[in-house]
Amino acid sequence: MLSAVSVSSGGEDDSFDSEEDLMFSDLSSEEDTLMTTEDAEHIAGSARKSVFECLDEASVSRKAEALVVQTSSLLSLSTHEAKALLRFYKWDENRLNDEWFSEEAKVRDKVGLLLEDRDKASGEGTSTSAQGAVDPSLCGICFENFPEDDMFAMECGHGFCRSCWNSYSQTAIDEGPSCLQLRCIQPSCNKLVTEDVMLSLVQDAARRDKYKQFWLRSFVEESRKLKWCTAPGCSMVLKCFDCPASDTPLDVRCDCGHLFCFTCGEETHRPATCSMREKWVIKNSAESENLNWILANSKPCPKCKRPIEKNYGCMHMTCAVCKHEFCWLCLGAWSEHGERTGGFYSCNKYKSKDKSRGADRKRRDFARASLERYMHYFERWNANKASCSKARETLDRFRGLEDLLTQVSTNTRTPMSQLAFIPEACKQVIECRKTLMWTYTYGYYNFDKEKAGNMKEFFEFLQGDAEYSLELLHNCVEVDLHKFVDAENCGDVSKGEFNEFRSKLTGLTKVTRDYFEKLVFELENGLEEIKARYGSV
Amino acid sequence: MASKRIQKELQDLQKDPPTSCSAGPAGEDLFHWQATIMGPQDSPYQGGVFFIAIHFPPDYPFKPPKVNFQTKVYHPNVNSQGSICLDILKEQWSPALTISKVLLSICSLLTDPNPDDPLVPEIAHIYKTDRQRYEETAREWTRKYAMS
Repeated sequence: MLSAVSVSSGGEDDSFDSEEDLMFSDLSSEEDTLMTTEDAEHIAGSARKSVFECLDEASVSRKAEALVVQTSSLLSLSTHEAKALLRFYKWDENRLNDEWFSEEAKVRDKVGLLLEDRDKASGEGTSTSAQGAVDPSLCGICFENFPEDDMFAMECGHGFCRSCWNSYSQTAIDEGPSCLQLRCIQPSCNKLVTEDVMLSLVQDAARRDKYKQFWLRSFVEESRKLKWCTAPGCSMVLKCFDCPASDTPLDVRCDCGHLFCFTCGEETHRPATCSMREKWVIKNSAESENLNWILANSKPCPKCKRPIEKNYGCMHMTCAVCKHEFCWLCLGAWSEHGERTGGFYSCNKYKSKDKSRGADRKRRDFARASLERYMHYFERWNANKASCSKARETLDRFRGLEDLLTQVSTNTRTPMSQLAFIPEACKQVIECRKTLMWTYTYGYYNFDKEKAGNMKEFFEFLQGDAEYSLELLHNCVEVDLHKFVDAENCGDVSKGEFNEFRSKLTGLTKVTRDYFEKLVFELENGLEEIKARYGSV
Repeated sequence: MASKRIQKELQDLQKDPPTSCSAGPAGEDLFHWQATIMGPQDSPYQGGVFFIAIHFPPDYPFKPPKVNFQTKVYHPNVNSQGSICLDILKEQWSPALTISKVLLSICSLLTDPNPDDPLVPEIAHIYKTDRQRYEETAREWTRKYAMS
């Protein structure tokens, strides 16, 4: 667990350090290889191991611990303080170090870490405790008197009884991940409740686990280089060594076998970008009713992007997870709403772009035309999608109940070990169908203006070529193969005929793979190369 | 815990009632209070008596009480349902706060509306652009709904 960070033995610290060193040297060497094989990576059709690694929860925890220990020794802080700081800076130690060393006091204030030697009396909230007068044995929450031992206060000196502190902390944990940034009970006090305090207050095992899990989640979900595997039930974490730009897809494969896009967490969708995929899927969504509800009733938090349903009060929203304050109407930061910036009302003003009434009809005509265009791309996207799942079924039939491969093996008197090329071809079909699917989305969003001109033709030419090659391959692996499955026909199947089939299928697999890798490469690089080569056409 | 604390708050309120407001259980149920606030001097609400319903959640004071106006109020931070937009009733709540402090905060909200965080943008707009009209309407509503 994350929280099991030990500060006690020096030996442990050493081991952490060496592990950390190892991790960094790994990292730099990865980056070196990345530089040299950069072009190869771009062409890679499927997930390549060299740009990411797959970790289980325990090793993620160890990485978090190592980072915490390293930071704590660098900044000369306790591990839980270092942890709080890292969380605040989204586990980006470089940013933390920069800001810490340039303006420590400001950072302490933002995160809620007091200086140890600060005069306690000066930090005292004036008379917010209920009884007014300061009575150290009276708890300002339950209004009961307690012996001194039953009272508790953090460094800031705001004392309340242990039982109230306990309920306060438990309620915070029940409310969710924002408990990681819980402050002192005293309303005027900014002191953060750090992990050591939290765990000393909360005894309930389930809540302690939940709290520790929140830390781990924070580490995985807020570090840019980490992502949970998106397969249901899988708790592996993928670490990307060199994160792509925000909208650039990166295919990764978890050790559990699940393949997904690291950037957006969805199914792989190259060559379409993540935002294209998202727009496209929303557009296609059959559950438009649901979708309309979400669109009408929720908005993503402008900071952490989690969908937020507005169920209370005014336009001043505070995200329950990241505590970001924003305006529900314009989604701008609330700090920018006030007299200074022209007041709240600017959000109410409708900034009209076209005022003419005729625009309405024009819009309708445009809608019809664009619907037809959309249908063209959607039908093709959908057909490839269906084809892709059919190919998946075929792949399943090779093993499983029907065990087609064994039949082929018996009928052609070929050992199973030499039949790997058949499922291989089928996997290629699945991958290509998927890519082809998303090229239609790519086309839909990239060539929506007439100005696309030549580029659109180049794109369609490349796409057509790849598609033709894929059709041949798909046909070969589904139709031609059948000759060798049915025992009756097999009597007259010669060894030569099967060898011929083998070289045809292997060849097609390779050719198709090359076509598609090229297609994806060209599309992701905006057809620049082609334009340069044939630009004058 | 909750009922003990509520009881204590009630005792404190009876022992040392704050000026211009009062509060206590509406009936048998200790978790359901009614409070009254006198419209503050120097505000268009002066002379009015405003009723407020207070509902304590079972995990009070670790969760904030639900507080609603029962009397109609013309105010940028109070809507027609009587909901109040006040930070200490939402994310700024602290178990160290009490009903007496909440009522005092509401009193000061009546004197000093917060038009930059409005629950009713239209009223906030009038408040900022035509203070006189705002005060007249608020006075009129106070006469109509908060004096009888």
